[in-house]
Amino acid sequence: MIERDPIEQALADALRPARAPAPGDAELLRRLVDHAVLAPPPVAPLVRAGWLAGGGAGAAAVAAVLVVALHRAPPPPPVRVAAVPVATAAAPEPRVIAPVVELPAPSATVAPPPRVAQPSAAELFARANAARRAGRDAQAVADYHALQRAFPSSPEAVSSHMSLGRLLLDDRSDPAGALAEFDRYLARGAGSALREEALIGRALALGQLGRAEDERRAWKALLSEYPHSMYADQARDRVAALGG
Amino acid sequence: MQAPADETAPDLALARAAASGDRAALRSVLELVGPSVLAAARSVLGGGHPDVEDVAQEALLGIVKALPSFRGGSSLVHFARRVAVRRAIDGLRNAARARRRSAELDESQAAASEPTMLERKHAMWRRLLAELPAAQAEALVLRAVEGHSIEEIAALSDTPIETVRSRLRLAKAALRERIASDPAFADVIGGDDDRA
Repeated sequence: MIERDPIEQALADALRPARAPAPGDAELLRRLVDHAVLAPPPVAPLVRAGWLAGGGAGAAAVAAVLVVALHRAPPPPPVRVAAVPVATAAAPEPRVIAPVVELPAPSATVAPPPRVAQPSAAELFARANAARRAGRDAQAVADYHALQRAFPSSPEAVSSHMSLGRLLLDDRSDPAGALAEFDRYLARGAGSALREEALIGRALALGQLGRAEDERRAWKALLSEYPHSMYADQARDRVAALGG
Repeated sequence: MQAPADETAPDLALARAAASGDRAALRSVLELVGPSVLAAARSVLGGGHPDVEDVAQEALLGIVKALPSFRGGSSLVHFARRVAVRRAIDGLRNAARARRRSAELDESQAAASEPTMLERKHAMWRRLLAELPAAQAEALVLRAVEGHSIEEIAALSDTPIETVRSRLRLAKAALRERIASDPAFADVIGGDDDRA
């Protein structure tokens, strides 16, 4: 949600993914990929007995589909797909597959996509979202603003008001800016799918700004429209704390 | 959220080549997504879980199976990561159901080293996650751990936004109720949230 929910925060702490590959990952991945790519029929020898025993019919079905996919398909044309770029780890791994790479343009039999000089609204939106997820907040804010300037009436720009509002709210850097983004979303996307989140965002932003009466009204507005909101408990608590 | 066509076109072309039987393309797909798949399996199951490798393998096979359905609405990495999260949640639930096996695991871990309070807390969150319906657990992991917005989860899982929102709401309510109703949970993780 917009401001980190305690349940979400606790779960994120418990399940936080490791940022760096573990020693031996390159070899493990090579083995896993080999199994998935090269599995001849039957697949069982390629997979640990325990896995198949535990996987049951589901695993067998997956294996069957893999076998069908690889052996019933016509002989593949010699599509020249370049190998995924790799980065060399400092030590001791000789080769670590990069987690996210820019794929080279596909080969002769797979026509390269047309390149456009200027990013589209969708492209800017995706780039901003990716920057936000990667924690590159400044880049994300810049991309959201660029999207809103370049394509003000696009659906992506409307959605970006929510994304940008959440970003500004989450890092508590600009609650006034966040409030403005939520208001813009509500003004332009009234009745849209994220109205509930926008109302929550307004209330949280007003809380960060210390505008108690406006915050109280915002929570009441949320409860009025969405009495079963995920934030209903918090809304009721805040309304009570702010004088009912 | 719809990913831009220009950005996902190379992924789509690669996926189609792989789905048509081109092993080189399939290898490229799996090498591209492999690290993310492994990371997702470790994240959900815990790094030391004995099923991490099996879940990662199963997820890769699941991705091979699902490639024909890939439409380029997201990047291949996100597509694969969602498959991996779902497989890992299934693995978590299977492990939780296998009581004897879990008991053995607990014993072996206890013998190896006494878990810290933090480790116990993390393990309990995984137990709670395993008790949720799979679709709710998946939505919650994609939201809380993977950092996706509700719109992105809806696009990744091809599910209406309202359904995603409902799953998140139900998942959190169930977790809060479970924590509040079980002294073992409340004792270890109750301090995370005074409403929990």
